[in-house]
Amino acid sequence: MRKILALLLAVMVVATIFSGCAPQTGSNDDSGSGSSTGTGTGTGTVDTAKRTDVKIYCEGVWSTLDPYGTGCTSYTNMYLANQMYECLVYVNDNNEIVPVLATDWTVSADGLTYTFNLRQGVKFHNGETLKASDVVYSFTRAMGEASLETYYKPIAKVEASGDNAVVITLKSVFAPFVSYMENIPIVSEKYATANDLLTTECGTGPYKLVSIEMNTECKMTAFDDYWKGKASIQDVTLKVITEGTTAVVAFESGDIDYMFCYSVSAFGPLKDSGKYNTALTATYHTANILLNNKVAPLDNKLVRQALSYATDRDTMIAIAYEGLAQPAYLMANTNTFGVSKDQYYNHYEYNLDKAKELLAQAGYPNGLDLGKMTVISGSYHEKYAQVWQQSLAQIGVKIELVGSESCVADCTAHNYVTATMGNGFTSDFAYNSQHYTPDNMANYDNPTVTDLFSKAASELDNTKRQDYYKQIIDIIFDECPNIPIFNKQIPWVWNKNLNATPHLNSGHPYYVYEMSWN
Amino acid sequence: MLRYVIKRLLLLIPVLLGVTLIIFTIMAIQPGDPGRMILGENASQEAVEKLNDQLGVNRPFVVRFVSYLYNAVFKLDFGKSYRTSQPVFNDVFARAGTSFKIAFNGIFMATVVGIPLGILSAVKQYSAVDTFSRVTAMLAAAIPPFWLGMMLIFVFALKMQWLPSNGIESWKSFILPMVTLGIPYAGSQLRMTRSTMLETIRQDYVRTAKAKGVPQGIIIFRHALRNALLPIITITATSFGGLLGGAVITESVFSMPGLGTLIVTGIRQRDTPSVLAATIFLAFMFGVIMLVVDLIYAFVDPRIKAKYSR
Repeated sequence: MRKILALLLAVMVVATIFSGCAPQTGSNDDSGSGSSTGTGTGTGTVDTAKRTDVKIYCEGVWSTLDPYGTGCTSYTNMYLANQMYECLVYVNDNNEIVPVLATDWTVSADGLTYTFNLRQGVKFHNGETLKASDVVYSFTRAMGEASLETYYKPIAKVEASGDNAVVITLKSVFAPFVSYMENIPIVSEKYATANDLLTTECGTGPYKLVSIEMNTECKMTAFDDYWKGKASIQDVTLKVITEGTTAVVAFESGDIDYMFCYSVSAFGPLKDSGKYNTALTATYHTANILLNNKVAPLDNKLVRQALSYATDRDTMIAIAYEGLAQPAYLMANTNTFGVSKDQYYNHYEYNLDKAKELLAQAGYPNGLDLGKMTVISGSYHEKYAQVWQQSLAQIGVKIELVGSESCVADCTAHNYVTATMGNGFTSDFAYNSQHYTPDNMANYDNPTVTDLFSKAASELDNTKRQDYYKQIIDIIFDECPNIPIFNKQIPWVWNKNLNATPHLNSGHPYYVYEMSWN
Repeated sequence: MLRYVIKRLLLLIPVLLGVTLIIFTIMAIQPGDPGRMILGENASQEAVEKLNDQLGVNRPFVVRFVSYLYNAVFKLDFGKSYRTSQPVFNDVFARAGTSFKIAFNGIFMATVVGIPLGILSAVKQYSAVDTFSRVTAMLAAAIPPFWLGMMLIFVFALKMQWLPSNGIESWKSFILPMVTLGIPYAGSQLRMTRSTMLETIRQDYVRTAKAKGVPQGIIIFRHALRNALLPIITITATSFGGLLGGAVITESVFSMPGLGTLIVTGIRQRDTPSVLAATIFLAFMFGVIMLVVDLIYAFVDPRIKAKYSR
């Protein structure tokens, strides 16, 4: 018996030693104390002056290279497409529309016809020169893909005007139309009609495909004839590592040069170590709580306002996302056209007394039972839902959390009372019409808001458009059809000697063309 | 013997049909739809419905099942993945190799470690070696693969930088997964081997051989082990079959694209054709493995061979 115990102890000691040797990164109870984590090979001991390659982390497998195929809007697929394809324009982090394949454009007086003049001398990866017919072909293909519908929905037709101009006619005036064009990549018609774009590509981007194994690795190389000039980084390898902690280990051991910390708890120690470049970028994504506006008692504005007052965003962010998020008060942020900084503040500061007061005014002085809350299971949504549940309990509101794998479908069908949700947004508040005009997930229907969105969409004068959006936002803040919680931040880490710029847009988070080694 | 093999292969057909029906039904009654999963929460309901129509998921269950069976049996067309739009078996075959390597390496290590220790433990019953082996086996079986894999990565990939932490680029990539899987299964192999060996070495013929002065090694390896092998072969084979699709955690920790992660991803994204293809493939492989096991039985035990030949 003694021998057994002694052996058991020995094994446990060995196991403890191994655990103690493990770095703090990747541990769930990481406190971010900044202890040394890496052994140095990822931190500049390699002779980076000679490096012309970069290895980038990808958190999931790819399903397609086709920029117009099923799954083309998934972020992982877009990471590849962003390097190999380009669009007519690009919207930068300052919300400015930057010409890319189009050098300039004109709009007809009635706001329905856009003429884009194409950049001359742009080459596709197969050597062909960009022509208007390629753009027409690309748009035609894009308009057959459901996931791109938001971007091409306003379009009635696309025609070539000679070789160097494209005319796009809209069904009705749509002010943010040009910004939406950053989501439709341009492909060589000649190549695409003869080849399968699922596993090959032919764009105008700074990189062209060398090889891809959909589940593990993609290699690209710089395109010599890129119109802006050849890239500084010659070879790119994107590596799929589905487990966040393993990715952090791969980064620290030098297998990866640039990554976003999928394991958010690992970010603090990496940042504090001082060995890496780090950045936190906002995303165009809002975690929010949906309230079914047509189900009693949530059809009562006072109840919705009370629930808003009972929402402790700071605690939710700390618990659900390790503090790596910004509180959200709208399904947008101040980068979004139409959202002014003086409007964007917490109209419902966490105040349980105020919440109770409003509930009493609504006829529920003793609280109420809201039944089941549908929660997106297996994610941070569960955590902030738990925080909310506890806050509501303090004002006498009872909810039962129910995890659901079909939360999105349930909410779309309005088959819920309250629910957690995550929604993307864009650089223009027009995109928010899907949240506040009829048949939205919150089951919210305000004819004034619908009318204002419609007017704003067809108003080409930006000052007037902003005024319409201001009115909409005032109404939304008053009526609380849903409760935005936070905008996730993406924690980026990269090699100390690598120059890189993470961007705001989750779908366009980085461009290898902008990277270079010191 | 040939008749037996053919009979066993034919018996696979109702098994595969049953598996297909069960999986098809489970995928059909799951909440959610592939259209929404693929297009995301921001897509309009019309777009989702349009995609669901294109994928054919709105048709009645019986129509879909019969259509699937007809295409699979008569055209060998198992459909395209909802996620990738590629024929499903492209992905299955691409990942099968990785799964085979992971499973084989894991079982190989389990066998190489577990069987010799099990034999030693049985031969030296109640000794320090036996006690140590049994305790180690118990601990090995209790260690969660996720934790073990992470620890191995921290030590060997990060600290010592001897081995890669992820991927399938080289043979070195398979070492840590091999140990991660092999250690828990080695525990099971050890205990099974010890148990069957203990039964066997107590048999009269073993006592007779000892009395005749036959060397210990020959008694153990030529006489006792051979008779103890049948349950060991069974557990090895069923473990291997289980690992082909069941090493999801190891595949995730080490980012190795295998069949386990394909099935889990397919279930999450309601990608019925992928899940069906992977499951049918695994069911078929499991059936073949069991057939091979039965044939090995015949090789090991002549009495069984005679039975097959009748």
